[in-house]
Amino acid sequence: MHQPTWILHIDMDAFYASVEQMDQPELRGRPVAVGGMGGRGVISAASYEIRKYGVRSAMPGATARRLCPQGVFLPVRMRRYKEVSARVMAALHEFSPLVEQASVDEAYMDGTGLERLFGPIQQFCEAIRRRVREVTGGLTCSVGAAPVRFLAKIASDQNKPDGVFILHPEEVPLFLSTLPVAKIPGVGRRGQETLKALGVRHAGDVPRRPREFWEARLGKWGGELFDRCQGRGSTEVVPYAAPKSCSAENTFDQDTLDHSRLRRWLLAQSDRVAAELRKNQVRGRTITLKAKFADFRQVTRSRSLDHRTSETNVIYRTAVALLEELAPRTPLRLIGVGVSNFAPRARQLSLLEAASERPDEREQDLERTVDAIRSKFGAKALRRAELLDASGDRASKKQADQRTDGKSPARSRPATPTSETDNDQDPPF
Amino acid sequence: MFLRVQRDEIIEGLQKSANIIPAKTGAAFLRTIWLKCEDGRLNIMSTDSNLEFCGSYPAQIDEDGLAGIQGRAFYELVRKLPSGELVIKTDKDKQNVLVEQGARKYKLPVNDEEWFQKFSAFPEEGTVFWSGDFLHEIIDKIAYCISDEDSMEAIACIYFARAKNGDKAIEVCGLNGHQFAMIKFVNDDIFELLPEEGVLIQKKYLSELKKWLTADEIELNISDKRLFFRTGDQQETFSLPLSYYQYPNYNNFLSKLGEDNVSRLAVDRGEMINSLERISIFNTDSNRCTHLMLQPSEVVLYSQGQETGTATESMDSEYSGDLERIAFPTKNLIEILNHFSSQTVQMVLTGSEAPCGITGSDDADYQVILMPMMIQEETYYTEEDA
Repeated sequence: MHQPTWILHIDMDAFYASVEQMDQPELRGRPVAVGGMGGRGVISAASYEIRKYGVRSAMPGATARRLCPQGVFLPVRMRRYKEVSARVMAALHEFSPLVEQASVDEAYMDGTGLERLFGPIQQFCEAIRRRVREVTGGLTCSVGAAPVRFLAKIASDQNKPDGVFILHPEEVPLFLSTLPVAKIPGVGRRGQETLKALGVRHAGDVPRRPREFWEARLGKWGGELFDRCQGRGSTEVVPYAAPKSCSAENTFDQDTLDHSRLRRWLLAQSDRVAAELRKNQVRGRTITLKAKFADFRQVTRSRSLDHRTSETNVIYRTAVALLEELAPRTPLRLIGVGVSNFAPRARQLSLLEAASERPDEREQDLERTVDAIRSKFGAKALRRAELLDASGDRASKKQADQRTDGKSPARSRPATPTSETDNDQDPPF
Repeated sequence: MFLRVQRDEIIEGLQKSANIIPAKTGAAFLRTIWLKCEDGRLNIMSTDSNLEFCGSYPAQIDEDGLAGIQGRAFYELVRKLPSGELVIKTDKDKQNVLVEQGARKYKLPVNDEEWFQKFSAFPEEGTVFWSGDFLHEIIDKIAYCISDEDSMEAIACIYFARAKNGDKAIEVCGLNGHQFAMIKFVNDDIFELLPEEGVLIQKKYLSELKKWLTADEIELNISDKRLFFRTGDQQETFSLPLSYYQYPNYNNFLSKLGEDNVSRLAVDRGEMINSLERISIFNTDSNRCTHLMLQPSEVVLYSQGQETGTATESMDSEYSGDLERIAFPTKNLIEILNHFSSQTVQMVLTGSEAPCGITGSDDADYQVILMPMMIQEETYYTEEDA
């Protein structure tokens, strides 16, 4: 008998905010937002109570405060969210080994064939929700089940929060016929406008024209859109994907063009990124500087080194060189450093790698020691002298958010940019 | 042009000539074999614009002349003809070359004579005699370590240079970034012939040079940025362009082998090749190395793949040193060992992430350096108890 393919998408409901409400019972029922501290950062998560005021994630903190002055705005406690996330992921692995963590608060699961073990799909999804609630001490999640990945993700959003939505294969055409085309992954604001001009409102409108039509107008993406709008897509669930990049970024409390300040932030970020690389036993060759100007215009500048590195100083020097080349003339709202282009886990060494290009052993020893001390005594146990507060503006600096990719590189996926804020980390200086 | 020639006199030269012309690509004149009759001999010439071949064969020349014909077709035709006399002539309008052997008659269109360009002449002054056999062996033992990518400039070349340590010897080197092979030999004439900076020959030319070489003595000379080879009977000349790049200073890594704190491993070459061949079955694209666990009288070789399983073998060895573990790409190590003939090979290990030198007692003056695979430590963090 043919077994239907079931891809499940498990999405925690307002995760950060829900964790805060769970940890601080007095916040339950109140409008809570996480992130956007200091008025310059963006909201990372909004409780359902605050969403009624129009507050959404990725919204500037200042806007959120204006919309909901009585709201509770909390700093990000990434360590805590990761802790809860680990429990959720462990619970999901009780059901299937094929679990792919897409971010700190969502995962895909290949549920094909599991109905024999856990009952009909509806029952199976309910069992997952129950188990997640048990292991987290009361957090809710929404589960979507569909024949392909992207539909599972759309499905998990249908009965949110605390709901299940099952999209049976035979229901897909009808579902797509009324699904706003903007819900299809890859259709952005400009895409919507283009499609609107072609008379497309719903996903089901796309297959009315042949694939060639869409390819002629939208190129390769046109063909993909055509497939997706007929419910075709990937069913692959990859339990582990090697890390491909690691980055840290910061939104300033006030736009700045102070180069010494920018360099100190770059040093703090380089230190953090380098530590993360070492923790995951990878080195990267490409250093990327990200800068966002006051007018929200964003630029990136990358440089590939001759060798791969996980050394703070190398990353920092390259980032500073990129900043100098960029030579911003208007104040920056955000600055960040990323490292990518990682070495394979085993590689044959080169005879021609000049001694100067090889990792400095003394430097590596030092960094290993620093890592070990921080691991044992906490991140505050050691800090770079250059980052010690000298100018007395610590308070204002403390308000700035340290933004990182939020995920352990070991679990991050390159195509899933996130913007989690982590104020639980040390202020960089 | 009108000549008579014995088919067997020219077939080998014709084959060498046809070898260097591009089979399909390239301008028509580059796919041409030129036949030139002068001084009572038939000259067969071809070029791919870099390599040049010129052979001179005895023939009965009734009328001098020059004709260029489609090289591959002409060679294939002569190859498939039986032994015997060939009559080769141009027609009245010099539009075709007529090839006749008894009742067999063939007509091949000729290329315009104006395409003919003068071939580089073998420089007579300072000619050096050398063994074709030895050059063949050198190419065999070095070429596999040369980078296959032309864009790698110097390391896509074989390098002939005077010994860097002051010996009156010649060092021939091949390098691809991960492995290095060197043969050292003494030949005063060649030592004098070589320019101070040495000569670089692109790897892509070596296979053609090898095809041209025989075990006989050859003549060697350098002129006009070209390296010339000529058979001892002066009948055939093969020349190729030299490259001019800065060759890496290989003494940087060679000198490491002479340091005091190195580890030394001696193993049976054949036994190790057999072990590695079996272990390679357990290698994958992402895990292509064999780990060596080094112990005083035994070396344990193993490979572990998530999907392919595990292979472990141990073999007798002589070992001295502090290094406990090292990993090499399996296929490369097999290939290197196959280029030795000694029963026992010695490996000088300078560190788990540093050059390893390989020599054999019966492979005098030949050494290969192989870089190990970087072994990721299972636990990156170390924490000592207080």
